[in-house]
Amino acid sequence: MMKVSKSEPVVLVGGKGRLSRERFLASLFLMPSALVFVVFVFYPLMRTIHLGAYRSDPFGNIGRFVGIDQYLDVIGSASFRNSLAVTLKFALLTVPVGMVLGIGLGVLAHQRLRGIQLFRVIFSSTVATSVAISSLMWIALLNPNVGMVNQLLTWLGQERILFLQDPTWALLSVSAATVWQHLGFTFIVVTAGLQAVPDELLESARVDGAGPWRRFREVTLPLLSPTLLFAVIVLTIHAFQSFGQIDLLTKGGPLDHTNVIVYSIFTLVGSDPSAAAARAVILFLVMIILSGSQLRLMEKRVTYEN
Amino acid sequence: MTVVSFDQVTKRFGEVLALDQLSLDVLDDELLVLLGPSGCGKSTALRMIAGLDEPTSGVVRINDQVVNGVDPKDRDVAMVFQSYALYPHKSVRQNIEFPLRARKVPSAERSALVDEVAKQLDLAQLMNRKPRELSGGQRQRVALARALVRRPAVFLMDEPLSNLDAKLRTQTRAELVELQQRLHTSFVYVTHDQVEAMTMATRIAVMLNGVLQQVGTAQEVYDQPENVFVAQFIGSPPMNVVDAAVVDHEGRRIARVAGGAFSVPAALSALLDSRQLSGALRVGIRPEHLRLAPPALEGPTVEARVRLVEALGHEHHLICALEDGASVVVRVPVGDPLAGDGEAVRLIADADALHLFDANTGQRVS
Repeated sequence: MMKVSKSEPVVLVGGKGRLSRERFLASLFLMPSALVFVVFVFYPLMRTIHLGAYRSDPFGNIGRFVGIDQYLDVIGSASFRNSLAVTLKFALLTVPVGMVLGIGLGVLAHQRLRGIQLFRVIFSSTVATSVAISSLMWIALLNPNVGMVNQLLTWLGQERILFLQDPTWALLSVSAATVWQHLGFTFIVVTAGLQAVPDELLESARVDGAGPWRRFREVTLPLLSPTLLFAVIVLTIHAFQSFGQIDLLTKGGPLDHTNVIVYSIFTLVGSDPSAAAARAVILFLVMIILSGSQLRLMEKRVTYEN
Repeated sequence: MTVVSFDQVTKRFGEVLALDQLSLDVLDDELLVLLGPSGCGKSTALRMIAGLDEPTSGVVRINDQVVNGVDPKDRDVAMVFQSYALYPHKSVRQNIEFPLRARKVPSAERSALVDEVAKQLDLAQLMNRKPRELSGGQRQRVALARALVRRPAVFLMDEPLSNLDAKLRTQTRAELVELQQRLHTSFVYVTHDQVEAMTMATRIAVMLNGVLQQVGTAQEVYDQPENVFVAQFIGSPPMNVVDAAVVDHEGRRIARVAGGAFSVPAALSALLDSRQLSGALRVGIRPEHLRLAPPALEGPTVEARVRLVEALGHEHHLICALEDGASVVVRVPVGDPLAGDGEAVRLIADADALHLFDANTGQRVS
């Protein structure tokens, strides 16, 4: 056995010198990404927070410093509250439906059926579709005169619906387009998750006497939960950041019924840039809190393997 | 009585023939080991009993009922998988009670059964742990408990010991045999490890390339291998099999091999006469039946050169090369005369220890 006496200093090979060398190397390797983050994320963020602390004059120029007042004004304003409510509704309409459909398609395409490969390609195709193209498609589909949906309604003897102009339908329509747009993403994520569920576990459950529904609920779903948590958080963030489809389908109308936060920020930038900045910062905080609490709430119910 | 029977069962996966006309019975209260190298069809056969694979043709019966097309859950079988297949998100208790819940066993009865099997397998302290918090041996016991809790007609085990370290494997082997004897239930046990098969099996079914080679007790399979494959697959080190020509020489029957000859025992000799077999054969001798000939010995011997000596403590293995380069292993008990590396030796075989195989078909001559 090796003995170390107290009086003699113990020299370990490559002691302090090696550690500081490794630190230096580590920071060297981190430098490029840190630089990109500082220039394109931290600096703009700081600038936005700073800008939100000034008032803009009616011509859109930056005026005097008001500190936190503008943030408080934004939070108190009816238009911001409306936008926040619309965004929340939009998220509640798109995320759960998107998840259920994504899981459904994922499970369907996971079956060992003939020609399933083709369906996998079709189901994931919306990932490769840009917001602009998807929106144009939905404009065509929902067109009051020549759109397919209204054609169908006419055949069924129903009244035509002005999907994108009617206050009761506008948000639903935009949500439908958004669900469709994100379905490819959810499908791919769920498919990847399903493929990670070991076959032996499902076979074991079969021999143990579990039918298809019990196998899904008690084996597949729990093992899929980390994947689903990831998808829910990403879809929620997408919902809160939606802009393209709003701009193309409704421009926030009718009567602000689809005026989600990001779109309201966009329309405000020209006339009141500092108020827009304040809204952006508040959206940022809302999203941090939301994602954080989603993680906390749902992590308890999520099983990570080893 | 027969618990499981295969009747001319064939299984194809596309072009691949996984199982070819298998006919085999699993008897009441026996531990039948399906033994063979990977890809021999042993796991496929097991999965067909479980209902995880369906035969391409032929009939599988459990308790005299045809089970072709019957869902796994409606067969009275339980299975232990090689990976254990424990549900990672469920506690040990939830894992063990899963088959009972799936079969809608009432709650009170369920927990009584679970507690009983947990006690049997010494799992009572671990009931609230998750599988990831268990050691390999503990996981193995949970998988076993989950199978046991249902009291099925037959237990299916797919290499259940292969993920354990050597020491634990030996120990668990004995425990499994004890368990089988206590339960008086049939076990079908798949392994590629012949030692596992020899030590555990009531009967061994040796398989190769989807074809059943031989069924019998460990001793039968060891003493009378049906063909060269079985002869060399069972036993460690494996049986020496070398090309031979059986001829009459100076009034006695000998098997001529490279570098000399072995004398052929009278019984075998008579058999060869009755079959009118001679000429191209292969002769098999287990390493423990070969020994170093004393210098003065008269009669047929085989010249060889020692290539390597392996010391195992209780015995030595001499790996020798014959004149034509073929390698044979001689097992020398400690205390017996030994030869060193590179030394030239003469080998003789114990009387009545010779196995003869047809050189073309590899089948035993008997």
